[in-house]
Amino acid sequence: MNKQIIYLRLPLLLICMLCISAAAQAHTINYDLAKLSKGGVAWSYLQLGFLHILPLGLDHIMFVLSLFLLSPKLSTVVWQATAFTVAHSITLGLAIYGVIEPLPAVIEPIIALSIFFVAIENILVKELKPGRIAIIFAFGLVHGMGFAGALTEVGLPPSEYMVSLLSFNAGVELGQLTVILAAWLLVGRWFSDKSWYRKGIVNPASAFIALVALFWTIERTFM
Amino acid sequence: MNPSYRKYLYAALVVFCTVFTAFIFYNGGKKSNLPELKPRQGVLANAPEWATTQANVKKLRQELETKPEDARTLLMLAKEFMQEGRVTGDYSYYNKAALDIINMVLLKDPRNFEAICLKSMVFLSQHRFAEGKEVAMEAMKTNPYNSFVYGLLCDANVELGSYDDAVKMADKMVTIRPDIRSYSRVSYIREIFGDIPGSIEAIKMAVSAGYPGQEDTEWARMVLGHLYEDTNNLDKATEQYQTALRERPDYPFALAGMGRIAMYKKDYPGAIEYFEKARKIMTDVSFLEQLTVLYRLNNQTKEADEYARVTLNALLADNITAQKNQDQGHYSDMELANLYLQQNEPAKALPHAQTEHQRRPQNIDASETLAWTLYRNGQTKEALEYVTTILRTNSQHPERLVKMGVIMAANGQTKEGTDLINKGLSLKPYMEESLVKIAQPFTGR
Repeated sequence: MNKQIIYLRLPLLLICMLCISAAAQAHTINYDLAKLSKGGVAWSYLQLGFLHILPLGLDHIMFVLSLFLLSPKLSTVVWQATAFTVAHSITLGLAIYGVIEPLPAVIEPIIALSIFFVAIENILVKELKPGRIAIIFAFGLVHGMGFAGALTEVGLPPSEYMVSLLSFNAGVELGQLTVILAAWLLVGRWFSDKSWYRKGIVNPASAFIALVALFWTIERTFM
Repeated sequence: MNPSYRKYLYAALVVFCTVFTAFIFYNGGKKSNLPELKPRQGVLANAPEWATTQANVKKLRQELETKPEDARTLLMLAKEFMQEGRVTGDYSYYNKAALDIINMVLLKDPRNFEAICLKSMVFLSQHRFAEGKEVAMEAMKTNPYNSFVYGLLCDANVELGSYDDAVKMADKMVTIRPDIRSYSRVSYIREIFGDIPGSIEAIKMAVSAGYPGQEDTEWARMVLGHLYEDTNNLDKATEQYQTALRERPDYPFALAGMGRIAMYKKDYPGAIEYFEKARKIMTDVSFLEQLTVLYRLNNQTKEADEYARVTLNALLADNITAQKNQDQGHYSDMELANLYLQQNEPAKALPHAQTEHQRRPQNIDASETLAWTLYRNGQTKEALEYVTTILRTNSQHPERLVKMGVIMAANGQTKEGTDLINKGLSLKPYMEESLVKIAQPFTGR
């Protein structure tokens, strides 16, 4: 595969995702809770968590892709994704149990801003630094509050409260891992060790993500 | 890129994001005070008033951007949300949304009459009757010449079982302003006191006073239909439901009315079809409850069990929400008790029936639920203690008469009991089979 095809594929992939996911604010899922059967609660919420990332969570997908681009090794990205998951699990749990009451008007723009930050950081920083884990953890806390908004809209069956919460979280994690795996199979595995990887893939893709994220930030803040 | 530039750019990025985050907190804090309309689903999305509601809410929000503390506009927005809750059945979200806005107004102006009235209205909708009454009393002190506040006090007194006070409030309301709301209250009070012809007359006046097709008019028509159902007049009831469906297509309560008529005629598949349609339009627990009964009658045990579970979950969720946060959800102990009884689990029903009775010991519905639950638990003597309270208004509700008759007959008051049972069954010969079966040993039929 030559360089030109790569140049074409990534923006196309991103544009496609932008088009299929009109609901870029990934927090407007509707789900007929009443239809869930008892045995199916775990499965349904697992699916719900997964769907919240793929295909409905374009903002979360972009965040995960941004993490991936800088250091496209599976092990490091999985570590970062795990830090992100631990963080969002904390705030998701706290919000669902009513300990914290996140305001969507604050959380949604910050989620977009966090994507912008990570994408620009990809361009400015040459290699992964340990501090990034802390940043990801902090952003994970914010994203968790966004997930809570989605889950609150859906509701949790009182008889299976914990099961549904854990299943939703597991679904989110699976969704993230799928994004990482797909990105690795499509890009990381073949090109991460090429000399042109940074200039040819990381910088343009990150710039594109940063632009979209900035647009969302402005849209969610002012509109 | 030069490494030192990178350093400066990175610092600039951090500063930019920090400042922007601070701005988001400032800006979002202001925006978040106003709740949003939720997108409607299914048939309700095509209802004629949906476009108007959206336009109204958009306009009000725009006005609030320039005048964020304008009480009149804020309260209009709260009313839009309350109405939307009623139309969609999503009371949990919209009551909370309305209450948040009302509290914003009251924070600035604690004596705002309209805000106090609306707050009372939300409390009543959440089954927080004592609080609703207290707030309505406060409103009455502020403005004793407003009919609306007497409506609230009438409702609160009815729910709390202070029926004589409710009558006084309904009288005042209708004197100040004879309209659909006051006539509806008069009708309900007359029904409670057993004056069914008077009740029918008043609700007919309410229907005439409303604009055909509007939700409140059609709701009044539903009450009229129900009164006909309870007096062995199915043709007239059907007529009301059909009219409502013409004036307001797919009105879920009219569909439910048609479903009940089909059920009385033992056309269970037809009844299921009506209720399934209503359920898809509006999330109302009563539809789920009725579907449970219907599927069981139609020998579809799997579906009946599924609906029973779903209904139970929905009611429990609402009750738990109300216990965790009073501004959301509503107390549903009475519905839970009745559902458990329907499922033949009287032991589970008892704590809920007792909780509801503790909340409003003088209310005839809460007392009836407790008495019947005690009877079903084999506590026949204890059940009898409540009968006098329940029958004190001379209510002619057919199921109530049958249940009280059974309790009295089981306690040795055979003649009085049998008379009540027979009266109830003659008013509604197509009464639910499970209740008729319980009453059968005492009827001699």
